[in-house]
Amino acid sequence: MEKPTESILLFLLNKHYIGGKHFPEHKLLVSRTKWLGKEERKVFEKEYRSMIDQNYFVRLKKRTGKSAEWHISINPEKLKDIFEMIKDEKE
Amino acid sequence: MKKNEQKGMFCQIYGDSLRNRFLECLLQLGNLDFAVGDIAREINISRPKAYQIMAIFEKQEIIIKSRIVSGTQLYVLNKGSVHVKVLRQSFKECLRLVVEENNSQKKSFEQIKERKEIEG
Repeated sequence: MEKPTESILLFLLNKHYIGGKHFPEHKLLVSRTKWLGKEERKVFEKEYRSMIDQNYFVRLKKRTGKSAEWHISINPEKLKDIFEMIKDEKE
Repeated sequence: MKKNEQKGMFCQIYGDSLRNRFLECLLQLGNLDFAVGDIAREINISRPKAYQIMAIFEKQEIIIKSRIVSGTQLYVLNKGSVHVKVLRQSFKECLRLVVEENNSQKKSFEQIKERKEIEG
């Protein structure tokens, strides 16, 4: 697992952003990919898109102010799998 | 801390002090490297205060300098430090609690549903 992906999962899990509780996706991605190089960013984006396709994350478009933004949270059904992935990475 | 900011499990257990919020942020970043300003913005404190806390952690060898990108010094968690290993283990246990809480909530919702179905 890429470092930014792991960091995103740790953040969402620690702050209880599971199911209905969500966080702005753009804000999270920018904070985690700020210091990455071009190639690292491409690899991370590929992995991130594959995780979304596998339904690890729940993505919703939410009204914010005058426009709408994508928000993200962890899929509660995949919670155990995510925890196992993080546990293996740390060890 | 702003009203909308969510308290993490680590701070819920160990207390909501500045030092703990800083540590929680570092543990959330995992193996990523970071700048002082990013942490300050994330936990909503001033940059001078963030630099103060960083200096303490650098002295304790919890964080080390990693690289310089466009004039910005980046830091990373010191994997070799015993303190960091203990912190990571406790952070992992905090995450385990989050998963268990969520599972117990699920079970209680399912039990309520079953009771409603039985009652008709």
